[in-house]
Amino acid sequence: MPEPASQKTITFLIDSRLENVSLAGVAVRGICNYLSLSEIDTYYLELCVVEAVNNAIKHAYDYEDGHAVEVSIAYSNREVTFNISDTGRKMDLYGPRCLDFDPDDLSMLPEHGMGLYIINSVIDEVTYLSDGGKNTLTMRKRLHYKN
Amino acid sequence: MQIEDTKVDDVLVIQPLDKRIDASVATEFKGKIVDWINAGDTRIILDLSNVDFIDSSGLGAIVSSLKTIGHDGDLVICGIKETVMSLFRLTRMNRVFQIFETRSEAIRALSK
Repeated sequence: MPEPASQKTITFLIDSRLENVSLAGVAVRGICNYLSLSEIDTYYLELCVVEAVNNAIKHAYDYEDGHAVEVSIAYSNREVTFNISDTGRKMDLYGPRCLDFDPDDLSMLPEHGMGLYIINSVIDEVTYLSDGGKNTLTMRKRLHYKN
Repeated sequence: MQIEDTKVDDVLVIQPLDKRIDASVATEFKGKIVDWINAGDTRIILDLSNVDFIDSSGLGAIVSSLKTIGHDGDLVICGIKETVMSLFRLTRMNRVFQIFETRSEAIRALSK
Protein backbone atom coordinates (compact mmCIF):
# COMPACT_ATOMS: atom_id res chain seq x y z
CA MET A 1 0.00 0.00 0.00
CA PRO A 2 1.49 3.41 -0.88
CA GLU A 3 2.26 5.74 1.99
CA PRO A 4 -0.06 8.70 2.54
CA ALA A 5 1.42 11.82 0.97
CA SER A 6 1.96 13.47 4.34
CA GLN A 7 3.95 10.55 5.78
CA LYS A 8 7.74 10.68 5.87
CA THR A 9 10.09 7.84 6.72
CA ILE A 10 13.73 7.41 7.71
CA THR A 11 15.45 4.04 8.09
CA PHE A 12 18.93 3.38 9.45
CA LEU A 13 21.03 0.51 10.73
CA ILE A 14 23.14 0.38 13.85
CA ASP A 15 25.65 -2.27 14.81
CA SER A 16 24.58 -4.38 17.78
CA ARG A 17 26.69 -2.70 20.46
CA LEU A 18 25.14 -0.96 23.45
CA GLU A 19 27.58 1.93 22.94
CA ASN A 20 25.82 2.69 19.63
CA VAL A 21 22.29 2.91 21.01
CA SER A 22 22.57 6.56 21.97
CA LEU A 23 22.86 7.35 18.24
CA ALA A 24 19.38 5.95 17.68
CA GLY A 25 18.25 8.15 20.56
CA VAL A 26 19.77 11.22 18.93
CA ALA A 27 17.85 10.48 15.71
CA VAL A 28 14.56 10.08 17.59
CA ARG A 29 15.16 13.29 19.50
CA GLY A 30 15.89 15.17 16.28
CA ILE A 31 12.65 14.04 14.69
CA CYS A 32 10.66 14.80 17.83
CA ASN A 33 12.15 18.29 17.89
CA TYR A 34 11.24 18.69 14.22
CA LEU A 35 7.68 17.71 15.13
CA SER A 36 7.68 20.28 17.96
CA LEU A 37 6.84 17.66 20.59
CA SER A 38 7.23 18.59 24.24
CA GLU A 39 10.47 17.82 26.09
CA ILE A 40 8.77 15.10 28.13
CA ASP A 41 7.17 13.44 25.08
CA THR A 42 10.51 13.61 23.28
CA TYR A 43 12.25 11.99 26.25
CA TYR A 44 9.64 9.24 26.49
CA LEU A 45 9.84 8.38 22.77
CA GLU A 46 13.65 8.38 22.80
CA LEU A 47 13.46 6.15 25.87
CA CYS A 48 11.13 3.66 24.16
CA VAL A 49 13.35 3.34 21.09
CA VAL A 50 16.46 3.01 23.26
CA GLU A 51 14.76 0.28 25.33
CA ALA A 52 13.68 -1.58 22.19
CA VAL A 53 17.15 -1.45 20.62
CA ASN A 54 18.74 -2.47 23.93
CA ASN A 55 16.40 -5.48 24.04
CA ALA A 56 17.35 -6.49 20.50
CA ILE A 57 21.06 -6.34 21.37
CA LYS A 58 20.71 -8.07 24.75
CA HIS A 59 18.11 -10.72 24.00
CA ALA A 60 17.99 -11.26 20.22
CA TYR A 61 21.76 -11.04 19.68
CA ASP A 62 22.88 -11.98 23.21
CA TYR A 63 25.24 -8.95 23.39
CA GLU A 64 27.13 -10.13 20.30
CA ASP A 65 28.30 -7.28 18.10
CA GLY A 66 28.50 -7.38 14.31
CA HIS A 67 24.75 -7.68 13.78
CA ALA A 68 22.41 -5.05 12.44
CA VAL A 69 19.50 -3.50 14.27
CA GLU A 70 17.27 -1.66 11.83
CA VAL A 71 15.38 1.37 13.05
CA SER A 72 12.64 2.81 10.89
CA ILE A 73 10.77 5.93 11.90
CA ALA A 74 7.66 7.03 10.02
CA TYR A 75 5.67 10.07 10.97
CA SER A 76 2.75 12.11 9.87
CA ASN A 77 1.07 14.99 11.61
CA ARG A 78 -1.12 12.49 13.46
CA GLU A 79 1.22 9.74 14.64
CA VAL A 80 4.75 8.46 14.72
CA THR A 81 5.62 4.80 14.20
CA PHE A 82 8.88 3.13 15.15
CA ASN A 83 9.86 -0.25 13.70
CA ILE A 84 12.83 -1.92 15.42
CA SER A 85 14.00 -5.03 13.55
CA ASP A 86 16.63 -7.68 14.13
CA THR A 87 17.50 -11.07 12.68
CA GLY A 88 18.43 -12.71 15.96
CA ARG A 89 16.57 -14.93 18.38
CA LYS A 90 12.83 -14.36 18.60
CA MET A 91 11.99 -12.64 21.87
CA ASP A 92 9.16 -13.62 24.15
CA LEU A 93 9.21 -10.34 25.99
CA TYR A 94 6.58 -8.07 24.64
CA GLY A 95 3.13 -7.84 26.12
CA PRO A 96 1.35 -5.95 28.87
CA ARG A 97 3.51 -5.45 31.95
CA CYS A 98 2.72 -4.13 35.37
CA LEU A 99 5.14 -2.57 37.80
CA ASP A 100 3.63 -3.39 41.13
CA PHE A 101 5.81 -2.90 44.18
CA ASP A 102 5.73 -1.49 47.68
CA PRO A 103 8.01 1.58 47.64
CA ASP A 104 8.80 1.00 51.33
CA ASP A 105 9.97 -2.58 50.82
CA LEU A 106 13.58 -2.28 49.64
CA SER A 107 14.01 -5.97 48.91
CA MET A 108 11.13 -6.01 46.42
CA LEU A 109 12.13 -2.98 44.37
CA PRO A 110 12.46 -3.88 40.67
CA GLU A 111 15.90 -3.66 39.07
CA HIS A 112 14.94 -5.27 35.74
CA GLY A 113 11.95 -5.41 33.44
CA MET A 114 11.17 -1.71 33.68
CA GLY A 115 11.93 -1.13 29.98
CA LEU A 116 8.95 -3.20 28.88
CA TYR A 117 6.72 -1.44 31.37
CA ILE A 118 7.91 1.92 30.02
CA ILE A 119 7.21 0.93 26.41
CA ASN A 120 3.75 -0.36 27.23
CA SER A 121 2.94 2.71 29.31
CA VAL A 122 4.07 5.29 26.77
CA ILE A 123 3.16 3.72 23.42
CA ASP A 124 -0.44 3.47 22.20
CA GLU A 125 0.02 0.30 20.16
CA VAL A 126 2.83 -2.25 20.52
CA THR A 127 3.13 -5.28 18.25
CA TYR A 128 5.92 -7.83 17.81
CA LEU A 129 6.12 -9.98 14.71
CA SER A 130 8.58 -12.66 13.62
CA ASP A 131 8.54 -13.53 9.94
CA GLY A 132 11.17 -15.08 7.68
CA GLY A 133 13.92 -14.79 10.28
CA LYS A 134 13.25 -11.11 10.89
CA ASN A 135 11.76 -9.88 14.16
CA THR A 136 10.07 -6.49 14.19
CA LEU A 137 8.75 -4.53 17.12
CA THR A 138 6.30 -1.86 15.99
CA MET A 139 5.48 1.01 18.33
CA ARG A 140 2.79 3.42 17.23
CA LYS A 141 2.19 6.66 19.11
CA ARG A 142 -0.56 9.17 18.38
CA LEU A 143 0.64 12.73 18.54
CA HIS A 144 -1.00 15.39 20.64
CA TYR A 145 -0.22 19.01 20.06
CA LYS A 146 -1.02 21.96 22.24
CA ASN A 147 -3.14 24.55 20.40
CA MET B 1 32.10 6.72 32.84
CA GLN B 2 33.40 9.68 34.78
CA ILE B 3 32.02 10.40 38.24
CA GLU B 4 33.17 13.24 40.45
CA ASP B 5 33.11 12.40 44.15
CA THR B 6 33.21 14.84 47.05
CA LYS B 7 33.11 14.10 50.77
CA VAL B 8 31.17 16.49 53.01
CA ASP B 9 31.73 15.24 56.57
CA ASP B 10 30.39 11.67 56.47
CA VAL B 11 28.24 12.24 53.37
CA LEU B 12 29.55 11.24 49.96
CA VAL B 13 28.35 13.31 47.00
CA ILE B 14 28.76 11.65 43.62
CA GLN B 15 28.12 13.50 40.39
CA PRO B 16 28.21 11.70 37.03
CA LEU B 17 29.94 13.95 34.50
CA ASP B 18 28.42 12.14 31.51
CA LYS B 19 25.05 13.19 30.11
CA ARG B 20 23.69 9.65 29.91
CA ILE B 21 23.32 6.76 32.34
CA ASP B 22 22.21 4.01 29.99
CA ALA B 23 22.69 0.31 29.34
CA SER B 24 26.19 0.86 27.95
CA VAL B 25 27.47 2.19 31.30
CA ALA B 26 24.96 0.85 33.85
CA THR B 27 27.13 -2.06 35.04
CA GLU B 28 30.21 0.14 35.44
CA PHE B 29 28.16 2.85 37.18
CA LYS B 30 26.66 0.39 39.65
CA GLY B 31 30.08 -1.18 40.27
CA LYS B 32 31.61 2.16 41.22
CA ILE B 33 28.80 2.95 43.67
CA VAL B 34 29.04 -0.52 45.22
CA ASP B 35 32.79 0.02 45.66
CA TRP B 36 32.08 3.20 47.63
CA ILE B 37 29.44 1.41 49.71
CA ASN B 38 31.83 -1.47 50.45
CA ALA B 39 34.47 1.08 51.47
CA GLY B 40 32.06 2.35 54.15
CA ASP B 41 30.21 5.18 52.41
CA THR B 42 26.55 4.48 53.10
CA ARG B 43 25.20 8.02 53.10
CA ILE B 44 25.33 8.99 49.46
CA ILE B 45 23.94 11.88 47.45
CA LEU B 46 23.60 11.25 43.72
CA ASP B 47 23.79 14.63 41.98
CA LEU B 48 22.16 14.24 38.56
CA SER B 49 22.51 17.85 37.42
CA ASN B 50 24.68 16.87 34.41
CA VAL B 51 22.47 13.98 33.35
CA ASP B 52 20.02 14.44 30.46
CA PHE B 53 19.03 10.82 29.92
CA ILE B 54 18.58 7.68 32.02
CA ASP B 55 17.15 4.46 30.60
CA SER B 56 15.71 1.51 32.52
CA SER B 57 19.16 -0.08 32.90
CA GLY B 58 20.55 3.11 34.41
CA LEU B 59 17.55 3.39 36.68
CA GLY B 60 17.97 -0.27 37.65
CA ALA B 61 21.59 0.45 38.61
CA ILE B 62 20.48 3.29 40.90
CA VAL B 63 17.79 1.09 42.48
CA SER B 64 20.28 -1.72 42.93
CA SER B 65 22.69 0.67 44.68
CA LEU B 66 19.95 1.72 47.11
CA LYS B 67 19.21 -1.94 47.84
CA THR B 68 22.92 -2.60 48.44
CA ILE B 69 23.01 0.18 51.03
CA GLY B 70 19.93 -1.31 52.67
CA HIS B 71 18.58 0.19 55.87
CA ASP B 72 21.99 1.15 57.29
CA GLY B 73 22.30 4.28 55.18
CA ASP B 74 20.61 6.13 52.38
CA LEU B 75 20.98 7.11 48.76
CA VAL B 76 19.22 10.35 47.90
CA ILE B 77 19.06 12.31 44.67
CA CYS B 78 19.47 15.99 43.85
CA GLY B 79 19.71 18.22 40.80
CA ILE B 80 17.41 16.05 38.72
CA LYS B 81 16.14 17.53 35.46
CA GLU B 82 12.43 17.56 34.68
CA THR B 83 12.76 15.07 31.82
CA VAL B 84 14.66 12.56 33.95
CA MET B 85 12.20 13.19 36.79
CA SER B 86 9.43 12.11 34.40
CA LEU B 87 11.08 8.67 34.24
CA PHE B 88 11.07 8.45 38.03
CA ARG B 89 7.37 9.39 38.05
CA LEU B 90 6.50 6.95 35.26
CA THR B 91 8.12 4.08 37.16
CA ARG B 92 6.97 5.39 40.58
CA MET B 93 10.59 5.59 41.73
CA ASN B 94 9.85 9.13 42.91
CA ARG B 95 8.12 7.38 45.84
CA VAL B 96 11.20 5.30 46.59
CA PHE B 97 13.95 7.92 46.58
CA GLN B 98 14.20 11.14 48.53
CA ILE B 99 14.68 13.77 45.84
CA PHE B 100 16.00 17.25 46.63
CA GLU B 101 16.19 20.25 44.38
CA THR B 102 19.69 21.30 45.41
CA ARG B 103 22.82 19.61 46.70
CA SER B 104 22.87 21.73 49.84
CA GLU B 105 19.32 20.64 50.74
CA ALA B 106 20.34 17.00 50.27
CA ILE B 107 23.46 17.45 52.42
CA ARG B 108 21.39 19.07 55.18
CA ALA B 109 18.90 16.18 55.10
CA LEU B 110 21.56 13.46 55.22
CA SER B 111 23.62 15.22 57.87
CA LYS B 112 20.80 15.16 60.44
